[in-house]
Amino acid sequence: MTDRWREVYDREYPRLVRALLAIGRDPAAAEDAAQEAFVKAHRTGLDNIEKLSAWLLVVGAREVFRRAKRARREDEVWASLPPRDDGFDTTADRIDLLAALGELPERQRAVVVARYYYGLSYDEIAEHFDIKSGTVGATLHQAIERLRQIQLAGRLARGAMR
Amino acid sequence: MSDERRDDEIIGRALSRAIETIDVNQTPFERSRIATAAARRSIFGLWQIATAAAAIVLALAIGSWLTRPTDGQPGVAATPTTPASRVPSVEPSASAVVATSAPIWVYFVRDGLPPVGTYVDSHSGSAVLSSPEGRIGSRISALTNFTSGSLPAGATNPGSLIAKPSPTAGTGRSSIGISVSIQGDLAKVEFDLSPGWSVRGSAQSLALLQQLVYTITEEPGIRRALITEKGKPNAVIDQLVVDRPLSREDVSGYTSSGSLDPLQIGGVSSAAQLSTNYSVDSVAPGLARFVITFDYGASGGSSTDPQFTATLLPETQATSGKFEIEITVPNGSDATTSATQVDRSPLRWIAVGKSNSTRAQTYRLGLDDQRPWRAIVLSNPTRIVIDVGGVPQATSDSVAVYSPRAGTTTGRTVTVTGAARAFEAHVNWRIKDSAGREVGNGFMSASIFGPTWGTFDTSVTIPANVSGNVTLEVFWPSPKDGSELGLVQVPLTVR
Repeated sequence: MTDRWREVYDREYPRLVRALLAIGRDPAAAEDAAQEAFVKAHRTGLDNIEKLSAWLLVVGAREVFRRAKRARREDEVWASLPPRDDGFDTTADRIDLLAALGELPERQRAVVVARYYYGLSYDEIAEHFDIKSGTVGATLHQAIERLRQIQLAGRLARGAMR
Repeated sequence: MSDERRDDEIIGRALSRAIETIDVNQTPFERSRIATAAARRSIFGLWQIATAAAAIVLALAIGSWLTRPTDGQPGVAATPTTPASRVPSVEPSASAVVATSAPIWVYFVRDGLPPVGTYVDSHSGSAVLSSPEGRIGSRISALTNFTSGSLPAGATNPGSLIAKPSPTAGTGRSSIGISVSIQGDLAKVEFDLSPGWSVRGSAQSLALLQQLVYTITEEPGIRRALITEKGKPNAVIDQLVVDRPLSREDVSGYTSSGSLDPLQIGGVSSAAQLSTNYSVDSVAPGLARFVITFDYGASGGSSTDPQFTATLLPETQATSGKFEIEITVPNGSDATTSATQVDRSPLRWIAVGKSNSTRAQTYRLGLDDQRPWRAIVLSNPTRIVIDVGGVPQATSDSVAVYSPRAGTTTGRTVTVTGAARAFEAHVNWRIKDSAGREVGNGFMSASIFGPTWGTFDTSVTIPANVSGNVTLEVFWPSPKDGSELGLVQVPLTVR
């Protein structure tokens, strides 16, 4: 039993934590939520879960949202993330994108991460996140459009500072 | 695919790559909660599960109040004991046989600080102490019955008030029942109180809640406590409604939890002889400091950036402490290889050992809770300083003020010391008068900027026309939008 779980854990855990961090922006909460998702999966049993990665993401995201309600100031957490030193612009772009993601409503954040980071189909997203299948595309487009605006604003601001 | 869809796809992929580059704490499987939950089941076995299913009920006669001297100081000791003589061995196993009236670890509270633990007499037989439920019940009853033994300095015992009959009630005899059940990492404790909690006011209620949560969760494997009252939907302590399970972090008073991100400092790793020392409550109240000193010997010199890692982890062994900080120094060597039971909150124990796989020295610090911690590197000689906690009000996730202490009376010139992890090591301070008006400000540099924290030590002068109650605020400006990050507030009185 343990070996099978170890394999699942090693495969799914890092991706899940990253996704939950992108959704919730709090490293400690992301870790906790990911652990919680695994505990729930463990309790449910591997054989009872159809698509494990999507299941973990949905359960983990729900946990992140639950915790976010009593969360501390997000900016503080975000600012404490260490910068990566692989070139200013690309890093800045990445940080802008992630920060922009944080500006979206929670549900949109989760849907964007599910689509682009987890590669879930519209139908899967509709099913797992309890959204009408017809509105997934529109929700995504709306979210991406907003990301684009925020990112652009960030770039302009940086350009102006130089 | 339409242009619009393609554009969305491009941003989406960029976002996906951005997410992929996020550094995350990759808790290895062995330390994951699913692995440790399985391990815990196998340790305790079927017998324990059976006893966990049936809640143990402890009925405690609180007749001892009849004989207590009425000096208005409940719980203050007449005869001090020496806790050091009763310290058990490091990492006691869950199956250890405990003698009658064995000392057990409970918590007392200090004003404005997290609780502080100490050993007291359990007054319980080994049969009761052999189960987790029994030990939890015994710890609570030790608080409510606490009559002998000394309290830690500056601490009080709100637990001694529980169900204490009011002076007008007459008989002076009452009883409380405590029923404990365990589900996973949650201990449910139901109080059956005829005269109520007998605590008054929000400060006392919170202090009692803090004391109970810390004391209940002392049991290995228990992280959360749900306190309920028989016959009521929720426990209501005076006006404080307790409606959910609480962890130590929920009641510790700190606004942030200690970071679980591993700290990896890739500096110089010359061979060095290491030695350590520690202190508790001396740098600041509620703060434990652990110092590793480097001796580079004949090779000489002093490194300002020794290589090391430090990581805060949830404690998963059946041992004292809920979290531990593991510090590894590659190429370091410490002549000591022992373990020390410290038992001075928040530092419970120190284990010193060599890492098996690499030529590295490791230190593990067992801690009461996940309070904020920080690593500081000092030079001449090279030292790694691990500071855990501090005064909650003066401690945030990126600033910790060690002095002046909150609530003290000062002269016009105040020496401000502490540590910060701030952008470009730039730390601001300001003084506000009792009306909240800013009457002075300035900035200081924290010594080193990076993943480790830098220290600051500066002299602040309070204007001559300001006296009475003031607040010292320390924070750092966000490079992004100038917002004030890591803000801490230290109330002071100016002579």
